[in-house]
Amino acid sequence: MPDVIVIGSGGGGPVVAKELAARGLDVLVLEAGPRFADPATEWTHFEDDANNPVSGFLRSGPADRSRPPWLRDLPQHSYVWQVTGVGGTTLHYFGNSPRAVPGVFAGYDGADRSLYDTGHLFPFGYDELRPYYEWVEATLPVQTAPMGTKERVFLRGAAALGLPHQVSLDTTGPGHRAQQNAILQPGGTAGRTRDPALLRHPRARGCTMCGHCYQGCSLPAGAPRNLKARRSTDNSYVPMMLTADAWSPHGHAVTLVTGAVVTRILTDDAGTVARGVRFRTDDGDEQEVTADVVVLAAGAIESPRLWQLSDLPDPYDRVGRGLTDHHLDAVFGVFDEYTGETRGAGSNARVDLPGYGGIEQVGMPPALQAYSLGFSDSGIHGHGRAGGVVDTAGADGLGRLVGTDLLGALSDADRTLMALVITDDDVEDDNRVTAPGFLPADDHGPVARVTMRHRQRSARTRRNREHCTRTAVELMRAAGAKSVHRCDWPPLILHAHSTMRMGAREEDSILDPSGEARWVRRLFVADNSALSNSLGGPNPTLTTQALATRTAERIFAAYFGGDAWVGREDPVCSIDDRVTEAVIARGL
Amino acid sequence: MDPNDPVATVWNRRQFLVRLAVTGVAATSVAALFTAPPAARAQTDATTDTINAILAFVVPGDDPYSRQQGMATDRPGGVTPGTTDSLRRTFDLAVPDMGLTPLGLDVTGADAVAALVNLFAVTAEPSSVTGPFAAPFANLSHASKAHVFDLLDTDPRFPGRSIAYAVNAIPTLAAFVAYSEVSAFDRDRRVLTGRPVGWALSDYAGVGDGWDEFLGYYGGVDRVEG
Repeated sequence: MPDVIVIGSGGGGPVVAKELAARGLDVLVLEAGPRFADPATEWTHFEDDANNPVSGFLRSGPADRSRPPWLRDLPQHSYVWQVTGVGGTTLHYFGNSPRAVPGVFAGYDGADRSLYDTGHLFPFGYDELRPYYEWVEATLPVQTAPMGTKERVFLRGAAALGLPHQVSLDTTGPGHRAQQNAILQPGGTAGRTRDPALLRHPRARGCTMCGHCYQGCSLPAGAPRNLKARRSTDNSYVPMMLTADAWSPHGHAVTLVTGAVVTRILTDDAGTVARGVRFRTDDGDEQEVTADVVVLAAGAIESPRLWQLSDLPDPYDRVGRGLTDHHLDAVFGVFDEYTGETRGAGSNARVDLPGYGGIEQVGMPPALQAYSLGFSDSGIHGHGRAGGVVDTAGADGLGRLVGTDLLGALSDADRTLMALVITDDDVEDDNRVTAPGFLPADDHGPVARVTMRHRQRSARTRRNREHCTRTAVELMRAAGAKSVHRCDWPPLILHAHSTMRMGAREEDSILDPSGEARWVRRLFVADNSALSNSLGGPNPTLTTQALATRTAERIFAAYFGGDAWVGREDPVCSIDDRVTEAVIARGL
Repeated sequence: MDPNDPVATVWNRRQFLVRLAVTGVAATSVAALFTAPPAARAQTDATTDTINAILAFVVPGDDPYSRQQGMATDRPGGVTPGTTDSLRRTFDLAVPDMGLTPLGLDVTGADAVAALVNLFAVTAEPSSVTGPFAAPFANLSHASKAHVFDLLDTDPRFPGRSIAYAVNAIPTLAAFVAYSEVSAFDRDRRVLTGRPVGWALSDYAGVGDGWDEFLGYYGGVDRVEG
């Protein structure tokens, strides 16, 4: 019997698993999707092959791509873009690792404190989380992103708006900066050549600026798995958890089972203490396994689904409520000059607007640019508004681009620049995950229904989105765009959080301040769903990982009699030679 | 008509609903296009016509569907065999059940997408049943196609049902596949068979293992603490 079962190996689960494995606990990780053990042969850089939302190798669905995807019931214009597999949605993320803004934590007393979602603060102060940020930043590691042409153009626009250059990790006011990314900086020939013969590891180290973050990071070619450039968990925490015995004095390597869909969390007869899980494997076998502690880390959609399908208690009808998604929007600039939009990491530059959200530069190949320009809640540009509720925010156009408008805007994929608007959005009860939905059940039970009342978001959320979008439009013009277009995306749920939120009051939170479920002891949650709010706009993964590290300490202290380690020990980096040697020796 | 005029929009909505009620025969004929036995369908292939008409609407080219809509170019666009197959497969997987049975359309996947689009096409413009293509939607002008998508996006019966997500995704997915590699891609070997049309349209240099894009660090700052 393992000490701990972790459900899910996305952004958060492997963090808890690695930390507890390093303490010597016996940890079992169950992952519904596949493990891509050899990306060099399993992946390509092609966009449809990788990212077709229903048939790409980075999709929500089983390993066998001839089988249907795992759909969600979406009763409005929207799409939930997540990935199943070891690494989870970090398999296609951009590695952006900003810290949350201090204003979303308890005890914040800055002059702008009223600007935040004050009804849903983290139940502890920002200073308490800082050591965990530092621990994760050192483990991944997180590094300052390099400049390419698209970053130079974007930051030129940001500077022209009068925003100061932020040179700290903590965000204390509006500013622009290179991203802090979980991506290794370019070294050797990386970023200096386009010749594939010169881009093999170890001649090339770190980010080769290939432009394929969203298609999965398997470069530099020939690098051991833990030395691939982007620190998605498949390249960082997973290699560490699988080799914990090699780099930690008391470590115990994690057992990972893939193709294992957890269908029920098991409890004692009273239903108030977790005692294990039931899971189904690809061949249809059902098994049960028990443990002292269960960690739910299946993501902000699947975690509440599993809670509900397990008939776990929910006395205040809170599970699944409060879904936040940063109410994303996209602004495109078209330039006369080369921008390098298809090259380099997905996002290496950002603007933070505390109290409102932020903006980040995004670079992508042409199909994803076309997807972005073709997704709108404001109808087809020039042909009606389709009931849309926003204006152009100063842009030259609004809505989907089709026909000659699309051909013109995308006539050169390296003369565009995309800005992603990341809104500091409110936790709202009616934005929620419920199960079962109305779609037919899939192989593993009723599917989740994801309701997002995007045209009725709170006044603060709408204000923030318009402020950030208008700023993005101004930034594009200041950077020299000859035309600027606002997409007005429907909910494109790339960042999903707070559906199992941690909070101070039992009336509006699922988790207590330690990360343990209030109504089911020995059950912890360690994915984006545990976040108390949308962080004020910063991308969620780093904060989820810092919180998961803190949760691992709480588990170890509460149920295994151990002591905390963050702040008392030095973290081992995921590119440490001991990890690398074990990865190579074990063929990981 | 000014599409931004709310009065005109309401009037148009009412006109559309009236037509929807009185074009039962047309709707029945649309249903027949997609529910007929396979042998009959092979002759009409209304789903393929519809998919191609959607692709031409989003990314026009030098194909018959683009010419029919009155917006064409002198080079290949979204309509290619590989793109058509990919979009059909995507619809089949993305919308296995749109719940169209109450509309008399007992079909799923790409057939369901095509049936729904054509039902709205016939209802909005009954004359579209005649034309060079089996699918009424493919006989429409570019502006009329845009109007069909506006009607689909705003149909008051759809919010709260998965069909709302499905109809909104149609042009988006078409744009994605049109600019992807699928027009020149061997799915079995997972290699290119030529230069994809979408890459040519966007002057995309193509995929690779790296670029000489490194320009240093912003403000000379390559490390941040605190």
